[in-house]
Amino acid sequence: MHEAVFKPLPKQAGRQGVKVHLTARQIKTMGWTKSLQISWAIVKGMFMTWRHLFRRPTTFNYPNRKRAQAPRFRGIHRLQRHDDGLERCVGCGLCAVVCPSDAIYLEARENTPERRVSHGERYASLYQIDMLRCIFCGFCEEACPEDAIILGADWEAASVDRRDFVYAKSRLLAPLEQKDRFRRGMTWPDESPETTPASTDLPEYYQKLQNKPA
Amino acid sequence: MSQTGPEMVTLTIDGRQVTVPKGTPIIDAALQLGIDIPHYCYDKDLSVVASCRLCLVEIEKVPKLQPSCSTPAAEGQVVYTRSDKVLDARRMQMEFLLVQHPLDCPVCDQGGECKLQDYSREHGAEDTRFHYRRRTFPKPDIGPFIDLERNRCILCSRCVRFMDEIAGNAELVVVNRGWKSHITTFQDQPLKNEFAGNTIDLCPVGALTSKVTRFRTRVWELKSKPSICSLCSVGCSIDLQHRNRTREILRVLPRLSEKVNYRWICDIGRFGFDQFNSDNRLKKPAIRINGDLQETSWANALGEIAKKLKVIVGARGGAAAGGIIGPRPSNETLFLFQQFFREILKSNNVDHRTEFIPGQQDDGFLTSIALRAVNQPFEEIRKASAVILLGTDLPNELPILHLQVRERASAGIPVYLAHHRPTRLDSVCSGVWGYRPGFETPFLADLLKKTAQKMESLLSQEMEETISSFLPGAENEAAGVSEQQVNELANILQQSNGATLLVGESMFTGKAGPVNVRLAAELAHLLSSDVGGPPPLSLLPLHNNSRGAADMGCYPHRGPGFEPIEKPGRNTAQMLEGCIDGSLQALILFNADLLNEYPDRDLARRALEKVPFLVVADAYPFSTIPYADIALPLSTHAEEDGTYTNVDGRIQRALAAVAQLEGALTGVQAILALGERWGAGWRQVNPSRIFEMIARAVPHYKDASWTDAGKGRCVAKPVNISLFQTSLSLAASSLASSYKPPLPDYPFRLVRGRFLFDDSGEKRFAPSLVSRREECWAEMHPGDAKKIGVHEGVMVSLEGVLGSIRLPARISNAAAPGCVTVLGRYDDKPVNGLTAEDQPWIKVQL
Ligand code: SF4
Ligand code: SF4
Ligand code: SF4
Ligand code: SF4
Ligand code: FES
Repeated sequence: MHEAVFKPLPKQAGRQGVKVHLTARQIKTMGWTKSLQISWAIVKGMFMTWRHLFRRPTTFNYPNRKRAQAPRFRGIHRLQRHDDGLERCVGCGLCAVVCPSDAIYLEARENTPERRVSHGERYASLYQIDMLRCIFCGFCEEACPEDAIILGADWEAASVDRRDFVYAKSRLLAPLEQKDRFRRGMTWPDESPETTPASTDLPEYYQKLQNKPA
Repeated sequence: MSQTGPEMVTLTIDGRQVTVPKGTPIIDAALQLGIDIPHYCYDKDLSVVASCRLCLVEIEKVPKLQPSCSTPAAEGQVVYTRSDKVLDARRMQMEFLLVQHPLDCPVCDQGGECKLQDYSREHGAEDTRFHYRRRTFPKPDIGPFIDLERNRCILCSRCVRFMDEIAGNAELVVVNRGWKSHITTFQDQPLKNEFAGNTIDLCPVGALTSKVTRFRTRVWELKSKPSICSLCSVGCSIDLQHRNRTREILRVLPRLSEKVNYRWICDIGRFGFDQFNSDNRLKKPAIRINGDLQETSWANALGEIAKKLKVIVGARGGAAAGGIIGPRPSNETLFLFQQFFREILKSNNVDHRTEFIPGQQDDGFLTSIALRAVNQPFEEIRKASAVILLGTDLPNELPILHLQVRERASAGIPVYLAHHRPTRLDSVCSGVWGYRPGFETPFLADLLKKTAQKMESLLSQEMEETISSFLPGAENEAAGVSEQQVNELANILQQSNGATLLVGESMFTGKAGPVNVRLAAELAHLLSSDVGGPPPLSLLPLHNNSRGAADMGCYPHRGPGFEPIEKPGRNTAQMLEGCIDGSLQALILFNADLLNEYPDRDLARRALEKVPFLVVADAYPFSTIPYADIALPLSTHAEEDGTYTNVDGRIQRALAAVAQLEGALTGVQAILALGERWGAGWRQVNPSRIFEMIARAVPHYKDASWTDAGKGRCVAKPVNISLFQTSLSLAASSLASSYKPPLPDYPFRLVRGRFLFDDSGEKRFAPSLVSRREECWAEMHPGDAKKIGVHEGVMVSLEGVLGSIRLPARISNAAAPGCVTVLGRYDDKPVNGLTAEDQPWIKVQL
């Protein structure tokens, strides 16, 4: 079905048999039936055009208006928190291993009594998703044993710099005041110090990739 | 199995027949058919306890299910491993094991290679019916290497049995009964044993995990490369595992190697990998400009070296340049290094002996080669009827050899040990003798004489003379062994036909080395059942490529394959002296931590200060760097392909596990680049090509190939060489001065030894090993301590002619009277800076 799209147009026009490119001579010598046919086609076409002129447009005034999303829309990821504010992610790496496009990179550290980040013994000290690699399949969400990573409702991620598409924990983690688990209606957290773990200053994804062993 | 093998039985497992030796447990018989019966507590190298009950199978005519790990296969048995009854039992057993399990797989480092996960998936029930609060235990701290999480333990007791039966140190135990039983260390002390890391591999669940790797990766992210451990001359086969996408080595696992380490490795090899990830590396070549080392490019640095060397060699000849290479780099690097000096600089000033001053041109090791000693400790102890260890502290020197000797001892082979201080091997030995430190030669001479008398064999005239020169009557007492004790040992030796003799570093290195080796070889001849065959004597050099360095010809007087050189160059000591008196104008130090290793730190320091042109090439910033005129950053062992020859003469290949650090070159690349720069027509080739050159140049490596070395199949062949110096009595007479009494002001003899968890070499750059290292101490005899009023733990200062250090005192009977023992090498405790090597006299002050 899709293949047809790429097929070259047939040489002869379709069922109506209308030739569009007519020379002056051809028009002069054309019979009256033929000219009626052509006129009718023009009227039909113009009718279609005019009808659409008075329809409601399919497009809309984008930044001022936004389209309603399907309930299971898969947008940009969020890292969730527990009700007590601790991070849900324990840095198990299952999301990273299941990701078909290898978009997630994370490093883990151990919680200490002085600095507890998650409930388990481990937390993700570095958590990055390359949104340009991500295909928003939602596998990471499905694999996560802690319900920590979810694909949220946001999808606006435009930038002119490729590096902006590597989302670090500072942009993924739910802000402290939004520790509820519901994903709807969430906006991006500010990059406030509370949501930016000290460990995000670790070497970043791109550097890691450059040092890929031969 | 041959016809002469053990009695065979045939049984049927799941409808298929299999024939196995009588006594084989069913679980192993099934494995031969490719049937993997789930099991936790069974391990083929440990005793059988049959406690987990997961391996239950159904046997026809036996009413109840039987554990297949403890039921021997019998003739005509009919076994079912997947009947309904069995599957049901497995499911129940799995449920039972999981009753108290925390199920915290997401945070458990075992996740992904956990038997509990695997078997639950395969045989377990979907859900638990246990809805009560789970039992929890407090978390203990059992040392810097291993993390014990008791809640995950299924009490299979593999770890307990390993520590008890193989490591020989029952440090882990199960305490309490019933649901309170758990694993603990004795009195919650940290684990001390150097093989404890193997329990991590043995533990089927995540109860024992590595603290060093902890949470730094998940197992499925690890990529593995076959390598060889670089920390001692055993050369264990290991897998270096690094995390996918990064160049961090995050785990070291043993790789099965039947002839060497089998499936165990020691903790320094296992947990020392952070040296490869160290940030504290030389990263860029540096060149001294106006007194400061400044970063430069390789091209620039090599150009400068070539230029300077050309000037020096042009003006004064090749003899004005010298090279010292440590005994650690690969065979390829060692070979090229001496080739660079011999071929390009036309200089024979090459040496790899950085840790001792050889008494003669042919040191102890070369003497043993010339005497055709077998030099294969691993092979030898496997077939010997008795093992005799002389002058070696195996647990601190060659851990895996220690383990194998221990295994032989528990198999009933008598092990006898003579050393100048007690070792941890003593408990399994059938006899232990102590002699006074520094008196190795008189002890050996005495022993040889008495043994020969008892066996009524005649020694050569020269030998007799030599022996008597060491035995002036009462001198026997001086050696610290009583007449009766030597007689006792001689008696034993006399009866030990087919015994093998292993001689440690303290005996075969140094000035007395060649003489000691001659005496030991004579002794070995007496014990040998094969008259006229090679003496069953093996020396135990310590560094991962000590043997390779010798074979590659890193000697001033012998080239590759021990080929004698007509006009010998200078050895390490002579080169250092040459630096001081100005006859040596250029020195290249390659992978040699000379200041810490050389016995006379003061001499080494003065030489490095004095020499006009010093090039230091190393991966790590050792203390020689500040003296360098040009410093070259090398790759670590984990970043380079190469072969290494272990203590057995086994040529083993290690492959690079991670990409080279940017800016560093491997030893091979660096030397080839220098040759290229020189205009000698050298060009970059792969180490495998260099190995082919070695196989052509070194006769006893002739049959070795790069591929076979990767499989650990190559062993260096025996060689026929003759000694440079032959007069034994001459060598012996030069030693007489060593037995002079101490200087009046310096009444104590300084005794040095090895210590596994010290600071030497690359160990310093692995934070995990640094955290496990034990502090350096000065060990004194209680009598001496009392005399000068020293108590345990008090800081004392050891003063020699050349310097002094302060160390905590340890009062122990392990130290001989009149001696102060300092084990290990510590960067900040330069014990080699106290005295000159042949004047080991110090005084102790509070
Ligand atoms: S949504 Fe799919 S592609 Fe994107 S990060 Fe998750 S697993 Fe990877
Ligand atoms: S987001 Fe979930 S799956 Fe990914 S590391 Fe965290 S806990 Fe594991
Ligand atoms: S710690 Fe591991 S090896 Fe030891 S008993 Fe428990 S489960 Fe077995
Ligand atoms: S015994 Fe030696 S070679 Fe083997 S792992 Fe330990 S340090 Fe490495
Ligand atoms: S393996 Fe047989 S009872 Fe554990």
